[in-house]
Parts: sequence; C-alpha cells; structure tokens
Amino acid sequence: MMLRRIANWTRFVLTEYSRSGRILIELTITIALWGLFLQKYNTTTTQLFSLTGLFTMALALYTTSSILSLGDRAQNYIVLTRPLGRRGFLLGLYCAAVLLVWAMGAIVIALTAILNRPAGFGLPQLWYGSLPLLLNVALISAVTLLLSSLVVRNLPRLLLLAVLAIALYSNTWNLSPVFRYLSPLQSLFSRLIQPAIAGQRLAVSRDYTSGGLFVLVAQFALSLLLVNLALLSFGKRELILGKK
Amino acid sequence: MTDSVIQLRNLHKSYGQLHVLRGVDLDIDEGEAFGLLGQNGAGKSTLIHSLLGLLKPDEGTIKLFGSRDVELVVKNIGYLPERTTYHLQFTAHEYLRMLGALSDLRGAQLRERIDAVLDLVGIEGAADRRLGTYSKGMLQRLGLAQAILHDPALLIVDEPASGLDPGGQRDMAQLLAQLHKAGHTILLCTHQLTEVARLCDRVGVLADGRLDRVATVADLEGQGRSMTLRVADLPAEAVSVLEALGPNVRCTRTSVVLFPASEQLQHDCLAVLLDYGVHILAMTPAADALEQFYLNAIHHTHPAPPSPVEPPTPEALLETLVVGGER
Repeated sequence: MMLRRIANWTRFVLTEYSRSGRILIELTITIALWGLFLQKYNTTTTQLFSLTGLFTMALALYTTSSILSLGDRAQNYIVLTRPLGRRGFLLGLYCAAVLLVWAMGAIVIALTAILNRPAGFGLPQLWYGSLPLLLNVALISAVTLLLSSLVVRNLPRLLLLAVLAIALYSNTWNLSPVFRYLSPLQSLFSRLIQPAIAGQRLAVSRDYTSGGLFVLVAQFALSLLLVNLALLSFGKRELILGKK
Repeated sequence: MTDSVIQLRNLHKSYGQLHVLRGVDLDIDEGEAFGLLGQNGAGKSTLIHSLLGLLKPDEGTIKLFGSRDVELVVKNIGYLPERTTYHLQFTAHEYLRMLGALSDLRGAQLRERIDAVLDLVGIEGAADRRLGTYSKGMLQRLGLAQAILHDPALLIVDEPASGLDPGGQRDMAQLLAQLHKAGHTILLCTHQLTEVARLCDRVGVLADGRLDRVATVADLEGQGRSMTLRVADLPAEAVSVLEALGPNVRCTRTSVVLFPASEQLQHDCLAVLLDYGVHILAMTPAADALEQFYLNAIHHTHPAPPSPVEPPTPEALLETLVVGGER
C-alpha cells in the first residue's frame, strides 16, 4: 500500500517537474555533454563510463536539490496530511530525483551506443559499467537529501557539511598547520566517500575480480543508511514549508 | 455520550522566545462544528499545524479520534489550509486523482468521488482546465474539494473565505454548512464572525495563547443585540418612567441602554424621551453578542465565564458598553 502511494507521489513530482519546464535544464546539459565530448571522437568504453559517471554524480547533486526545493513549498501541506505521510513524501522526492538522473545517464549512454558506438561495447560492458554508476547516483542523491534544509535543521546541517568538507580535504593542503589536527578526522571521514570513489573506478574499469561486488554492496548500504538518517531527521523535525 | 474527535490538553508551543500557545485545552465532539477565533498571530495556524502533526508541541497532549499518533488517523482528516497555493501545472481532475491515490482511493471509486466533490463545490465544468487558469474563488473551492475527497470524518478548515468576494464567501459557508449537516465534524478557523454564527455549534477565542473563552453560539445568539442611546441630560422623572418599562432598560444621566433591544422596547423608550423633551445625541446599536464575546476575549485576559454563557446582567452590560464606547 505504502509503495503504491510513494509510486503515485513520485510520478506526480516527475510530471510536475516536466510540465514546469525544469527538466529542460537536465535535457540541455545532457545533450550538450554528449554533443561536446561523446559525439565525434573515437570514444572508448572507458571514456564513456568515466565521463558519464562524473556527469551523473554532478547532475545528481543539482537535480536532487532542485526536486527537494519543489518539496519545500506550502502546497505540499495538502500532500503531507494524507496517508502518504512524511516518510513517503520524502522517499517520493528522492526516488523522483534518482530516476530522473538515471534517465539522463541512460540518454548519454544510449546516444553514444547508437550514434558513436565504442569498440567492443556490448551488453556485458553496459551492465558492468552501469551498475556502479546507478548506485553512485543513489548515493550522491542520498547525501544531498541529508544535507538539504528541508530535512535537517541548520546546526546539524552545518556539522554534516563540516564532516563532508573534512572528508574531501585535499592532501595538497598539507602545508597548512591546521592539517596536523584535521588529519585523523580526515582519514576517518574520508572512508565515508570511499564507496563513491570506488564505484566510479569500478564503472571505468568494469573489473569485478578484485572486490567489485563488495563496492556495490558498500554503495548500496551507505545509500540506505543516509536515506534512513534523512527519513529519521525529517520525521522528527518541525515542518514549516516555504511560501514559494 | 459522544466521543471527542479532537482532545487537546495543556498544549504549549513556542518559537524561540515567542510563547504562542500557553496551555490550550479543547474538546470537540463528533458531528460538532467548532469555530476557532483569534487575532492575527494569536496562534490559530500553529494550533492547527500541531493538530496535524506538522509542528511538535513543547508540552501537552493531542488526541485525534482517541489516538496520539496523527499518522494512524490521518485518513479521517480533511485539511483546507489558509491561502493555499496549488500545483498549477495540473488540471483539477489530475490533481484530485493524485491526491485520491495518496488516500488509497482507486479505480471507479476514485472517479466517482472526484465527480461527486467537483459537482458539490461547483467546478465540474472546469475540471479539465489547468489550475493556473483558475480564479481565487475556484481555487478555494478546489481546496475544499480536495479536503473532502476521501470523505473524512473531521474537516479542518483554515480561513476558508480568505480572499473570496461576498458571493464566494456565502457559497463557501453554504458548502460547509452542508457538510456539517451531513455529519462531518468541523474545526473552522476564521476571522469571519458571520461564518461562525452561520455554521458553528460552539465558538472559542484564542487569546494570549489560551482558549479560555468557549461558548455555544446558540447561547450567544439568545442574548440578542443591545442599543445605547446617548442623551444630553436625563431628568429623574424620565429615568423612573423608563426603568418602569422593564428590567431590560438601564439608565444613567447621559445614556439609556436597552438589552435586548426589541423593536417594541425601542419604540416605548423613544416615546418617553420625546414626551420629556430629552435631546437624543446618538443611537448606537451595540455589537451583537458573538462580536461582543470576541472583543471581550481579545481585550481581557481574565478567565471566561463558564459555558454555556449566562446572559450578562444589565449592569454588567452597561459597564461593558460604556467602557467599550470610551475605549
């Protein structure tokens, strides 16, 4: 019953996103990426997955934020006060974002496969390369969900952003005296982003012989954890939606 | 004995330093229409959002249909928010279909409900138009349609007449009265006293974060209207004659208060004043009892009289009106 409600809400969000014209941004960027980088040259399968992986991760950040802003509007009080509930509401927004980015990734891969097919590109390549990319989109969308103002209050959000910043702390900043203190934290927090990095590497190499399945499980488990944290936070917080 | 559909006990809610609700107690019974009045910023919307589980109270308990978990009983609630904005890219049909699906209505049942509510609120002719082309009045009707789509036992309506022209306000009040007659419990949050008088069984005024003043509309209406006549100088003999007209007349040297001011009593008083050549400066019909009840509640913080409200004594009324007039 709940799955059906979430599916209905997801469909509604995607329809609104399309009809409002917001989807044109995703479509334009997707076509532009393909036209600029994948249309003409002798693209290899590795290049295809490398570029598509980075593109879909960046797009996941943008699209999830954009769809969450649709959720943060006063008209959604009517939706929230139905049996869909808070959890279903947030899951619907998340699913809509993930599905949309997956669709854009699929467009890039499909266009390349049809119009500029890389040598040796086949169904096994598509399957092995796509799976970690799909999970990375789910993971990045889950991170964006957890960092959104709709889900988390300002103070915890700042803390989460600090964790993310330290996790992404570049080694080239070693010269900074602060690094001495941040180094242990950095090595701890950077493990949180390892599944995403490993997933991208796996998509590019498509080599599952050295722990590939473990990477997929880690991506999935981390996504699940982050989505559940977001649901927990959203379930507990006060809902004062924007008047946009 | 009927069950409480809404039961609030000692509800407190603050936004930082701003203590909006300070111990609200309320019981609304099945089939009852309750009017919640209060000034802007009194906390009416906070109260409603707390009821719906959108806001978390700092203290106190909320029970809807006997349950403390709103999500368990939300199927039985229809909500029309104040100044609702809508998903304007959809037609009324599409919009209601989605909302109905979220309330677990499907297939023929959903189609029948959509047709029935669109017909009830009178926008069936525009059901396939995009909401972006709707007037404010049509959107408000659609708001009511979505609130009753799943045939909820409890309707929570926040300022349903907001932004509507007088005709639209009357239609909205008629629709709500129809729903009340059909057995829906209604919590009506409004500034419109006429709406409350037409629809509600009981009324409460939220003032200073409390809902101390609750009365039945029938009792308030039973009190009728009063009339104050300001006069230049009332001779003692005239006072005696006027007061002999009955207990509903109270006089001072400069005023005559009639409560309730029936036409016959007004006629008799005027005749006496003219007989004695008293110069009448002004005739002021006082606020009706509901308006007076509301004004008293928002201007005074002392506890309310027990419900049902006893009609005020003429002395008390005289004092209220004279003091109120000077204010």
